[in-house]
Amino acid sequence: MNRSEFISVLTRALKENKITDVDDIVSEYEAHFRFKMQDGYSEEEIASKLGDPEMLARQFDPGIKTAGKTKGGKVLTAFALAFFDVFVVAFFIVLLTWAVAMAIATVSFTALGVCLAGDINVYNLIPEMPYWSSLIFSVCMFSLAILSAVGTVYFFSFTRQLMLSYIRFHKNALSVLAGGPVYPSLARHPRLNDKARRLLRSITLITLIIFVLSCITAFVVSMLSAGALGFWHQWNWFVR
Amino acid sequence: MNVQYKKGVIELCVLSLLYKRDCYGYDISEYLLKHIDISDGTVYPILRNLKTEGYVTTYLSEVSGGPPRKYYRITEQGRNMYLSDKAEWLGFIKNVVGLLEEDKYEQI
Repeated sequence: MNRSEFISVLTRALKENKITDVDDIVSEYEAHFRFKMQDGYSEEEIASKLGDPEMLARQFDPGIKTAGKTKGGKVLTAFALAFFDVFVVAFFIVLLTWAVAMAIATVSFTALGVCLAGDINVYNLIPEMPYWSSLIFSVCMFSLAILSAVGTVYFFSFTRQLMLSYIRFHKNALSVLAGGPVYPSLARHPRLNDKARRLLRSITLITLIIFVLSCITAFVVSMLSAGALGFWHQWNWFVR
Repeated sequence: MNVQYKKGVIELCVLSLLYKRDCYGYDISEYLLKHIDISDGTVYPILRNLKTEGYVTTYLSEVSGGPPRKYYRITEQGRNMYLSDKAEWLGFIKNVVGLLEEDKYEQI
């Protein structure tokens, strides 16, 4: 008797004996075959050592009616779960859209930084200013881009973790309905490894300092070169 | 040995293993085979029946590069039952051993 014969005889015998959660029991024997085959036993050897499947099937008690749930109750739970899914999916779409918005912001800050540093003025969008001011402003923009990139990474991994935990909850809920075993629930916060977490943290800290310092420097330099506190008035910013 | 009788002993052995740590089915089966002479397949019905009676629960655990493993964990009810059964068994065995030894002396 090989593996598939053994399994099919067992499945049939279990069903004949009116055993609940047949799949759960059969999966245990399939795992047994897998482990033994990894150790180099042949399917026939394993099956004969397991014993007669019909005899084995007789050793199972009929089993509980999964937590006293009726069939109607199961259907109701499945429907409630599907209903719940609609809202949760919408919620995840909102979260993901926000992640995309953050990524786009990162790209825009980078582009602005490049334009300021390279003195590229597309459609005259960037107001007039001396080159050294725009150079320092570009440093501001680059650090802002890095900050928002880090933010995007954090936010995305958070959303991803949230989605994974929800998927696990969903799977477990269905498994409970079928009377099967469940996975332990996942942690709610993302589990970046220590190295990545330290790296992201130091990048954030350094960039934040650079951002603040370059902003102050940019304002001071601009004020000095315009000769006025409100340098944006002198250079006719925000005026069309 | 009587099958029903043996089943009770194996149940106790399974609980004693699960009392120490959570295990997956194959793990338990191999552990018992090392100590007791039973056929490979008999542990699974016992595990399932323990679960039905509420002495153990199951949960899945992911394994890299393979299907998830089903682990068994002893419940509070299982712990209580194990401790009381263990005491009962040890007492019983002691009496039996005493009785059999007595028998030996009588023959001499």
